[in-house]
Amino acid sequence: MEKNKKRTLKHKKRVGFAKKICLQVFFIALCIVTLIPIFYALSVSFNANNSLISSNFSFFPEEFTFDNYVRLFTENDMLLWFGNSLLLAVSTVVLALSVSIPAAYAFSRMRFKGRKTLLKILIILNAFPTTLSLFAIWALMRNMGLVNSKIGLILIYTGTMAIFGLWNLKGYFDTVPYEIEEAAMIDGASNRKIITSIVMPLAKPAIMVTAVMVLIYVWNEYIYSVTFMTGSDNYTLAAGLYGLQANETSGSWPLFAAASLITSLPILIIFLLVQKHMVSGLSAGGVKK
Amino acid sequence: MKNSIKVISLVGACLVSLLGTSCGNRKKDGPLVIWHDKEEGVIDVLSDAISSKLPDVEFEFIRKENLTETLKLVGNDPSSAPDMYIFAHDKIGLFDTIGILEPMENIIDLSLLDNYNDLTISSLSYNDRLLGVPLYYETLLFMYNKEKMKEDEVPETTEELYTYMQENYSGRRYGFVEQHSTAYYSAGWINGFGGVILHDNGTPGLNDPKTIEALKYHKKFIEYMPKGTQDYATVNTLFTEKSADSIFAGPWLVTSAKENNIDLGFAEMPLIPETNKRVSPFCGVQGIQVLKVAVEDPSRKELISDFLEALIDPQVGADLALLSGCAPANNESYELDEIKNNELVNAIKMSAESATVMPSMPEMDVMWTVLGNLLTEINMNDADVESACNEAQKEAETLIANMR
Amino acid sequence: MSELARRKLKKNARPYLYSGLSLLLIFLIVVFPIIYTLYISFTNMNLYHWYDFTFIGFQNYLTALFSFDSGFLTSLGITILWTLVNMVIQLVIAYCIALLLNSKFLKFGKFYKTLLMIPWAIPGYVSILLWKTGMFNYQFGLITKWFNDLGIVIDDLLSNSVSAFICCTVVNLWLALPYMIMIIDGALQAIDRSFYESAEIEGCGRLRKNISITIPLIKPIIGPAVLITTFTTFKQFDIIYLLTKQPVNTGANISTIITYAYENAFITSNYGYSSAVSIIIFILLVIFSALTNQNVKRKNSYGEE
Repeated sequence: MEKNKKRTLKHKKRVGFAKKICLQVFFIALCIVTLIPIFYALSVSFNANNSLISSNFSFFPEEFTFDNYVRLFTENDMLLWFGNSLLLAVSTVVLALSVSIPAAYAFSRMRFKGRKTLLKILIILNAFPTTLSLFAIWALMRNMGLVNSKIGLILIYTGTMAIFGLWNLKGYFDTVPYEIEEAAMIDGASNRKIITSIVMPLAKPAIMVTAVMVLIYVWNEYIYSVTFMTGSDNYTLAAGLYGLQANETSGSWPLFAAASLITSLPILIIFLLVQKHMVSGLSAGGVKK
Repeated sequence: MKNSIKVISLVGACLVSLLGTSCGNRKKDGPLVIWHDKEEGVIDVLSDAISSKLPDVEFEFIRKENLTETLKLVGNDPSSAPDMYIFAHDKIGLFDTIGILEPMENIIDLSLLDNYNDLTISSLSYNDRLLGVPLYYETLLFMYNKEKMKEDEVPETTEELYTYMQENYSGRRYGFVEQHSTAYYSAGWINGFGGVILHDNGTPGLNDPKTIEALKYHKKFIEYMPKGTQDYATVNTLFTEKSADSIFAGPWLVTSAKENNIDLGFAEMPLIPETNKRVSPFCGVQGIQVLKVAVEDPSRKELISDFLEALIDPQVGADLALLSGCAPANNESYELDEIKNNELVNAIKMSAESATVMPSMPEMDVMWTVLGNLLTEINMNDADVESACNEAQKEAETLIANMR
Repeated sequence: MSELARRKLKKNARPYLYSGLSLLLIFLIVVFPIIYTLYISFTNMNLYHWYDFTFIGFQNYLTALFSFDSGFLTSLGITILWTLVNMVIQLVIAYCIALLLNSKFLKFGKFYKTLLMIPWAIPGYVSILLWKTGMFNYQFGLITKWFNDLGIVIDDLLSNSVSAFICCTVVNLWLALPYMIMIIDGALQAIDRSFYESAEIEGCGRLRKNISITIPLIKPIIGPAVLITTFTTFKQFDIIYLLTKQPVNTGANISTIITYAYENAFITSNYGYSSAVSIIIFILLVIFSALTNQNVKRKNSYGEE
């Protein structure tokens, strides 16, 4: 009996070890495959030969150069664009969360007239092809006097992401057990207090996901910022990037590749930093039904 | 309750600002604003010229991506539209149709442009009115690699080109390449054959017998070009990597060809034996246009008039051309030494003599897409030329009818 | 007003207050353009009447419906196939990867997760260009190169409709998977571990745990994101257009409903007509989602909604 148990334990350990190896191999392979186009961009950006495509391409450029990266910062207003992007992204994330969290809470916890219909309508709005929306939004912005203003862009971005934010957070709030809130309510806590000190910590992963989502949207958006903002001082990174490739005849591919990589770097850093907060307060224990 | 008041007042404020119709016909003031999508060097030439000649005029060149789309939105709004913009001539028809451009005759003395190349003046004219001051122009060139194609091998006719392609065809080497299924690059064949893409009255000419003939003739060349999609990067890389001996390409290829140590030669477009006309590519003219909203105020109109006249200067034309690798629109520029001795500029000028004015009618927007699809069907999907042309003609007619 | 009535009013007004700002913004940025488009669709706004357009009733709709030919139906079919294929593959792969990322046997999971998010951090059109020129280009792309190294000759992948469809799918997956993995991963985090503990005590297998615990539990959480992604996939324009049409036609013919609308309406600069086409597509998509929703509801015995 005793011996048998030991053997299965040993066996389990061995299986566990094999599983570990397999998983590592799987993920390393997956990452490599996923990142091939990125390696490609990296290699192009470091290549001293000024072309994107060439029949003798190799992942390790023969002539290595930092020139494209240096040019980015010396010939272009990369830092300024970065600042604009950052300002827009942070403001939009803050605004989007501060309108979406209470709204999601209302839709998740309160029962009111039109709730279900509104929810359905909101999701169906996503089905509208937005190709022509630029016109309407421009009319709106002009009448509000917000053309060429960052506030205008922030409102556009927040509005665009608001449905996602509301639905995503609402879906998550629904999974947070109501009992804790009930207890708090009996203790006389206000709704605001419940949201900030109970629901928000518990729904941290969803809030993070929403924030990252909004951030990435703003970071990569260029159509609105190119149309509504005038002058390269007001460019965001994505708009500047768009300008760099602009037309196929004049753009420099290596420069463009370098700019793309630089543009995406902050997002990755933020993502890495935010990850440890994306573990749920729920699964961390404490709350059991 | 405080919150609710806040929210309600916010909603109110928004609605009021929404309903408050456009901010009135506020006149433009402040510095002259010129939108463009050009490289910095070109803009430096222009702004240096203005600041030295008109030191008191305040102006701002602003780079704008998606220039045409944005102008469609803001064209008649004084508060967000620019005073002028610099763009290729092929959109003036569109902007004139929606009615936002001011004709030059109201702004400058047209006799100042007497020495300008006719092609550039007619390109920038729409409905018989000149709608901009031409700056420089470009067209496709026949370029060849002198190492591979000897001077005496340079084809005088398309038939000679065809023979050369046959003789120099192997898996990885091509006598000649072009973006054969892109409307802009293939238009030269149709024009040279006497075919028509868009008639002057705005009707398509894709089923014109000459157009059909041109496309049939053009198709035989594709057999000796590389298989697969022929996009800009692919075709040009084939040439710069010495896999292709000759090419129809714009002047923008010159820089990268030189970087790749190509011994570059320019020749006239080959002659098509059937019509005894040269392959006749479209010519694109860059010009500066003025918006109606900018000249409502007479004193501002004056300013703009001075501004434009300052740019009508052979030296400015020459500097622009050299920087952008194009040819100056002002004929007087060609008397300057730096232009006289520039091989590229002269090649463009030579090529432009057989070029066709690119239609600027708004209907052309439809034609680019339809012709592109037609070329793909014929050249890559082996469609029957005649029926494909008839079908494309019908499609273009429907689309053009839908424009109204 | 009595204290009670006031309190009741306050309670009734509360949800609207909480969601008011969000709904207002949605109204302005999302609903208003739809209303505006609807309004324009009844006018003759085109290049010849850019600022002085007038009402012309249903004429644009009639023109649009009249000109919907077999090309329109084909593109509708392709769009449905495209949406179906992409959503199924995307969900299955994202679910598996998210599960593995949460495996207790995995070390450095966060590191891998970050690496897998990279495609998402690059603007979409940049990625599409990278794939097009770097991977799929017939003369110089890596894929042709690898096949050549293996001694296999392949055709231009983008010039054949079937292989171009696969290429577009690959790019779409590459772009969309990070988001889906993140959503599912987030949802997995939300599951109370105690469910599994009791399941283990009852001796449930892994597959069984997935089917009867994980999937039903994450479904309501990821539902909205999945639905929104489905709409996005249905309306996908950039990938298909940039890979096969712009700036050069590759010869493949995968025209989805949006690329069809683009080539047959939007390029004419006739905004009245284009708006009518947009509204028609919107209505079609709403009908489709209603139909599929009903089907799902019928098949799904324990679905909540």
